[in-house]
Amino acid sequence: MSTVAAAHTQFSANTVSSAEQPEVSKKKGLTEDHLAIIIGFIFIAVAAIAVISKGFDFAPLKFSTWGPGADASLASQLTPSFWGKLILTYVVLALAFTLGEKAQGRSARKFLAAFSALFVVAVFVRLISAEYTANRYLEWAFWALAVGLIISNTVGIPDWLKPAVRTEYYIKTGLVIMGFSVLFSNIINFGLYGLVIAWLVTPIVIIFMWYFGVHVLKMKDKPLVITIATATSVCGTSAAIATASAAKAKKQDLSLAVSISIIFTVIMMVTEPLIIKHTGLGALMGGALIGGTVDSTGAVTVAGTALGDLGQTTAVLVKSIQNILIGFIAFAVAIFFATRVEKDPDSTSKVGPSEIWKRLPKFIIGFFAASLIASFIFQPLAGKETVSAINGILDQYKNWAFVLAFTSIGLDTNFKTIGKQMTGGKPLILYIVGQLFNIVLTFAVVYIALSGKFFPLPKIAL
Amino acid sequence: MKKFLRNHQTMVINLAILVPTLIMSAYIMARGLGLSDSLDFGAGAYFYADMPNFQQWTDVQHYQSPVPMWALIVLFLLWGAVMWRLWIYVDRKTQDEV
Repeated sequence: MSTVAAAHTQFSANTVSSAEQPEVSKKKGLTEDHLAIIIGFIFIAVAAIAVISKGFDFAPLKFSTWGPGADASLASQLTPSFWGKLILTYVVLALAFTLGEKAQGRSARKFLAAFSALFVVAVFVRLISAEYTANRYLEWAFWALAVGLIISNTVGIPDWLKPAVRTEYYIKTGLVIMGFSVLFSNIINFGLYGLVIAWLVTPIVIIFMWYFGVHVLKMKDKPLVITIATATSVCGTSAAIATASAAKAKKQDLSLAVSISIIFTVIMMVTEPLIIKHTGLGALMGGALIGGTVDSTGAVTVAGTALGDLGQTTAVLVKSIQNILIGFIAFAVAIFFATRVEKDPDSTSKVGPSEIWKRLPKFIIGFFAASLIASFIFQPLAGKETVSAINGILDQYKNWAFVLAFTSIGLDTNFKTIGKQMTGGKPLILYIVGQLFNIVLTFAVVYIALSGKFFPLPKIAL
Repeated sequence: MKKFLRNHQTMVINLAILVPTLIMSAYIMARGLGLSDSLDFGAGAYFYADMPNFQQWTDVQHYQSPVPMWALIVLFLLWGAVMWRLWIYVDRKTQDEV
């Protein structure tokens, strides 16, 4: 093995994707990726049965917004139904993840004890995330990281808790569950206009940021480059999670990309509609620009609303197409890293299919398959409303899995590591330059498509 | 001073961006700017399914596409293939330069 390849192997340790694969699991044949797919599809199946049969309630606990400004107080939520949901959520998650651990040849008893403590922290994270202001601007990813970091950098994490700090396991499972909500059929939502605005620009921005990050800024951490690139060009946190796992990025890479995206999304959500109004761009073009450039879908909707009904609808239409790109882009990134980044630089031969299969993070197939099944099998057969109802349940399980993952990242990170990750501030420069390029290019495409000077204007029903 | 700025150029640029960004975002959050009273979410709804009652956004047809879905999928895949080739080309070219 060449020194570069050896260095990469070493680098892959502590990744979002491939670390912590115990020796025992290899003997038994079931890897973390296999289990993420199995657990993810069990969640999808049970949620589908619950919705279609209407026989039982599978929805997990979700805190309603509380605090000054909200309709409900925290105390008013503590009803018998709340405690019932809390127990259901704990039992379902503990059962699924503990059985998965057992299948990997690890101690179920040690994991269950540690997981129970981690779940308590996750409940606390979701509780503070539901506070009126926190819920609207930052939500779970930020608070999970913050709480984890505070615990690990003050009191530290005891050894008995470590078996449950399994970032990759939770993320992969959450992604397979999330795959069911990535509906490819949304491609038709805004016809050719949406496809051009969302799909023409996105890959160009990714390639530009890849070039800029790797070859201009000389960033050696390629998984970090691609994670920031997709967070910027696709849809923020959710795209970052999917791509970081596909590229086997380090946990800290993911937390850094997500933190940058969240902070700038807050600012863009407020300033972009103001600038659009000030320049007189109009609700149609303004909404499309917001849909193509603001990272999170919630921020897109709120910013679009500031431009009126047309702005809101156009923004959501464009963003709904960007949301479907997550699966394809994560899959492409996984193949790219398997064939080009992880390739031995001394080797001149092409990487064969068997080698690609060996290197490919398998859970990505589960994520992609869930998306295709929901889009082309489930939705045509069961209808949009049924799929939406199933996704209403699955989204909350996905969020629980991601909260467990991000809390684990926080628990596994010290402040010194974050400082090192900044590598002289290059990730921030990459984000800013990439986002500016994204805005300029999206504006150009939006102007050509929706100004009415080149093509007829679309008829949008409000 | 000039020497310090030259040696710490990236750090200075970063601080010049990061500090105002953090202050601005804290100000926005403290003042509750940019929110809509009718929407119980904001930037924290990272994915569409995170938005409460997201069905109202996804289950409504706002636009009747004259282009059929299969044609959009073909165009989608074609552009994806072109971009994939471009990415490989850019990566190969720049590696050759190195």
